[in-house]
Amino acid sequence: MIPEILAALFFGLLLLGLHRKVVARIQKRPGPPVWQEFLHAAKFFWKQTWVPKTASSLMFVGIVLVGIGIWVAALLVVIAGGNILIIFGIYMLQKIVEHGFGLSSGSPYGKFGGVRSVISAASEIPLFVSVAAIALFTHSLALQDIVAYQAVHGPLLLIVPPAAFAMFLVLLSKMPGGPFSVVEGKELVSGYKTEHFGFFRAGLYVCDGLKTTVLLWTFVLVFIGGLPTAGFIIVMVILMIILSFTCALTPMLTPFDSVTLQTLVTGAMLVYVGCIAAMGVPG
Amino acid sequence: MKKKDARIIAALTGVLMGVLYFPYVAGLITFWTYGALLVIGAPVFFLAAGFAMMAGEGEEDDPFIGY
Amino acid sequence: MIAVGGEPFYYLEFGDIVLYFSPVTTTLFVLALLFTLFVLASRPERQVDIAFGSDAYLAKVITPGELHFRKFMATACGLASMGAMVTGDVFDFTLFASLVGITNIGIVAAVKNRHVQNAAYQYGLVSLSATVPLFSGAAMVAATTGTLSLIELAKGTYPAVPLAVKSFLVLGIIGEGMAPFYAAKAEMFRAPGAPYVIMCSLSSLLIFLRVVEIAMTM
Repeated sequence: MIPEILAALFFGLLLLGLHRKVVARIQKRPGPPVWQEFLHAAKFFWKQTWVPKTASSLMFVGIVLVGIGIWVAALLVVIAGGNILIIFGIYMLQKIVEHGFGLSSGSPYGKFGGVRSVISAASEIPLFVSVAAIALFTHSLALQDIVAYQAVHGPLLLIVPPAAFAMFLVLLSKMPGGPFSVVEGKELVSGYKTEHFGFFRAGLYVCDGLKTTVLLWTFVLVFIGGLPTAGFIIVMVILMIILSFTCALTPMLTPFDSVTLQTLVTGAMLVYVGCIAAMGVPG
Repeated sequence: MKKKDARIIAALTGVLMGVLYFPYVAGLITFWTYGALLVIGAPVFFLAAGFAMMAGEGEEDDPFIGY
Repeated sequence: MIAVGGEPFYYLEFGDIVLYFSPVTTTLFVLALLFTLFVLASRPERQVDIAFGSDAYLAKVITPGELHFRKFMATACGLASMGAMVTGDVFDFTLFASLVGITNIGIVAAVKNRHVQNAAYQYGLVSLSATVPLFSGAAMVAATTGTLSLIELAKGTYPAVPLAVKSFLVLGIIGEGMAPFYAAKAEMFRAPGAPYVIMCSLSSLLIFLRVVEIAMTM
């Protein structure tokens, strides 16, 4: 299991580096090397670190533990083919982790980052509507059952495209520099990350790396199905490039516009799932 | 946390995770038993290693409040 | 049996009230427990504020009296969330959910800040109105099926719970603190005391996750 966790971490950081590279090329900049995020993590780990004077020290340190722990757990659930409700529960917990990072230091910038992260809780609701749409077809939320269903009936991407779109928006809301990334707006310095420096920040990179791998892998498993390892890597890279293009070509929305848009998507998804449920699922 | 304590915690969790990997591969302990150990052990190891090596020894500072 | 949250591996019986621990409910329970432990063990941060017009800045300190009250409320909120995570009874779940709503207001009730109090008041109004669909949802579950036990409902031998009843339950929980009603709650996070304030958002997220599981199980 340890090799899998390390591989997922490195791959996730590389994907984030690829994201920066693609965005830079679209903006006609050379951009950092693809392994830049990995270098950042290593650099931050070797910096002298302490807890700010005003911070709630246990919370300040403990939230890093929680952050890494939940994403390791999410990765293990994906490896074991476990329940997607747990993975999405952990995805929602990431909000609380961001909130904890921001609020525990006492810094006003961190606090605003954390509060924005909580306000944008609207981004999670489309997730559950798409989960409901999936459950209508597969009658189970275990990843292995969903993969088995797709082996027989073809990818869910073609069966329930709006659910895949909703989940894509959810992925987008977690990408740096995306239209919904109000949490990391430049007016907040580094948002909720502002006060966590040194190896705490390296821990944040560990979270980000694992999170990127877990979310993209779950998307591929749920909407495309089981593939050989090389297939997974290729599809995840392609998905990342699509996300990077979307991030580079869309403006960042204001916090309230972002919530409004996500709520509208949720409404549309609810109508869609209602229609499927009313018409009856074939098979 | 004192650097010495951090060093002991890091070593303990690191060794525990490393040593129990072999019975897991051999199938003596279940996936989720070892998984639970990793979920708790990995972050503790990470932070304890950080504290052991890079914890600042001077006075803490105030949060960043502007340029 | 309960396929949505995985097979339960432990049942805890209190007479006819049964708590069950499945992979999903246990994960949620452990998370609620973890953050409750944080509340009990950690001290609040001191929020730094810039004093406009000068170079000075101030750090807000929570007084011991306020600290005790808020710690108590945050712990109560954690306990209510833990209960809501593992209960196998729809009516118990709604009771725990409304208790979460009450304690959420309690967590910020002692903060002397007008914005926080206004937000808490507005949130109170929303969650109070949300209890109508919430409790009527639970009542209608009993009316349509004759039982409130999730374990019984999951067996599939009872009549199906109508979609409208499920939507009532979900709507009630959304009113207790999920988007879009969350907007009423946002200003509550101005309050200092990170470990306590976090319980406000954590409890809402957890009960929402649980209601999704409940709605799909029924």
